[in-house]
Amino acid sequence: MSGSLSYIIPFEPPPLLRERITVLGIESTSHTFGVGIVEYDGGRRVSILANVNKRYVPAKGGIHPREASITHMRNSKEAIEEALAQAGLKIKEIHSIAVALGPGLGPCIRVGATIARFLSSRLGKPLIPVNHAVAHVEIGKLVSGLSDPLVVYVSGGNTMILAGREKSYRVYGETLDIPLGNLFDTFTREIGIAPPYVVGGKHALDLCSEWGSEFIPLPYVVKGNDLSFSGLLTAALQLARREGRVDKKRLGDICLSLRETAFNMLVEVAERALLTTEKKSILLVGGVASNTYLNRKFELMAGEHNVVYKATPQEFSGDNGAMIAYTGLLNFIHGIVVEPSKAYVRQRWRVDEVEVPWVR
Amino acid sequence: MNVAIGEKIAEGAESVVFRGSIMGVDVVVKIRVSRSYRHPEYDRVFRSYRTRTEVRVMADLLAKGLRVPTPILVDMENYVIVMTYIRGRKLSHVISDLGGETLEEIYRDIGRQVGVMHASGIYHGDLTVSNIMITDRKEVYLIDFGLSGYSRDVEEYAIDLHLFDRSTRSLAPARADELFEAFMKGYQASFPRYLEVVERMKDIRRRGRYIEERLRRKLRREAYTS
Repeated sequence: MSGSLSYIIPFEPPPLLRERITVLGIESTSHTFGVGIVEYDGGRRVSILANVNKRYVPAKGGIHPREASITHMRNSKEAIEEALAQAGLKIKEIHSIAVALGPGLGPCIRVGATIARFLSSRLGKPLIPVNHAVAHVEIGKLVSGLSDPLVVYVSGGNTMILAGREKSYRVYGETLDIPLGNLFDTFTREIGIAPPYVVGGKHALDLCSEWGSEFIPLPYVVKGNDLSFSGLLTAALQLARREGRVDKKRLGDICLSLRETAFNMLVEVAERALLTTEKKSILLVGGVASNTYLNRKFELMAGEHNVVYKATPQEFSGDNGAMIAYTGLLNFIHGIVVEPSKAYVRQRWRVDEVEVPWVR
Repeated sequence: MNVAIGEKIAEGAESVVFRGSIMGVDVVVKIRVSRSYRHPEYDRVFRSYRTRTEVRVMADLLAKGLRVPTPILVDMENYVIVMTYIRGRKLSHVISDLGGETLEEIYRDIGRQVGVMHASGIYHGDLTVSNIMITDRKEVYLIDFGLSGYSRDVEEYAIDLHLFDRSTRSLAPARADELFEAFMKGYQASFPRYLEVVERMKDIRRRGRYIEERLRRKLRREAYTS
């Protein structure tokens, strides 16, 4: 990241704290060890001083939790030092430490949690617990400037439609089995074109979709407001094994149809939730938010209902340290801190169980 | 036949619903609209499939004696269904106004009708308190079969129960348990495989979509003890 980016918090923060503070946030719930530093001016302005993210890329297969956590440990010192250098700060000048305590992979979260507990107790700085999913939503809201959007959160580990209501984010629809990013990763891995899953900002599934042109109907499973992708995965894999082995164009057709079906399902449930919640804007967050085709579909859908649509830019849509630092800051100015001895890792910390005081 | 189209009653994710009249009879006109975000070929298949299934399901349920709207006209070129208008209010709108006994009576009847539907190999797919109409005479009508289909898989029936219970719980959390019990009374009486469905429903709630470990343990315990 070059230079610092400055944003306005899209709501009125409480006047409890009128001083300038800096928060260092640590993210390590999955494949990324990230360190972000934000500065708050005591009013409504927040600057992102640093955002350093070191990704674990598996040589084969998917994320191996132990391997990922070892990689995080190796990267942690450098990431923290780089972030401090970017921000031009010394660790002692940081006001407080924020950390993502869940949801995610236990061994990975523990790396960030251990470092954060140490920094907090060694340096006597407040420790702030952050929910990873809430952080994705908050950084998206900050960067887009949307104060009360319908949020579509899609990544390798999550697929859910959220909207703020009475001090929490309510889940208006979610996957009943595997997340969308996982569907794409598993399919491309099984047919032998990944890893790497993402090359130059494009997913392997987008690349193989370019080989095809024809649409093949695949299982479309929407149950009420929830989604199910496991049947779609099985059907697409069976088809690929039967017909796509030798014929590259046919394999392309299957990729294209899989992507088309999965995205249509997601946009349909988002559309339902939009009509139920009557929100005036849609915000896409999470690792899949940078997908061009998904963005195009959401733009079209938002246009049909006359609502604003924004996707989170790549730097802040994938897992990153800045989102933890910023959400930690919001938590801190609303009085949410934790004792280092009680900062437990919560692998299955559901987003709708988190109290979010700034949401109406 | 000419259909006079009146005011828009509802706009869903995939259809627009109007009031209308045909030869002096009040009707509902449901038009499955095209969506620009869908692949054009897919858009056509999708609208055609859902329109056809919806009409077939309604016709089959009417033949079983259930209270559902009667399809009058179907236009498969424009994906339009014209059906009878149900004079009443949505359960979601009246749930907090109705007294305990009346409501339990209503839930027992919903259970009975859903049981008959499942016994006929049909699932609703979007069974919520917003898709049930209550008339002035407290008759129960099931509506909106846009996501319905034919299946002998217990999974689909269990999803219906799960969605219905969840929607009741979000609007009337204090009464949800007794209402579900009333629903089950009607359901057991009309669907012999009810035990399988309830087991599967508990299973669905324990599944994939992550929930806190302690809640997971609690659900597992309940599944073994009940």
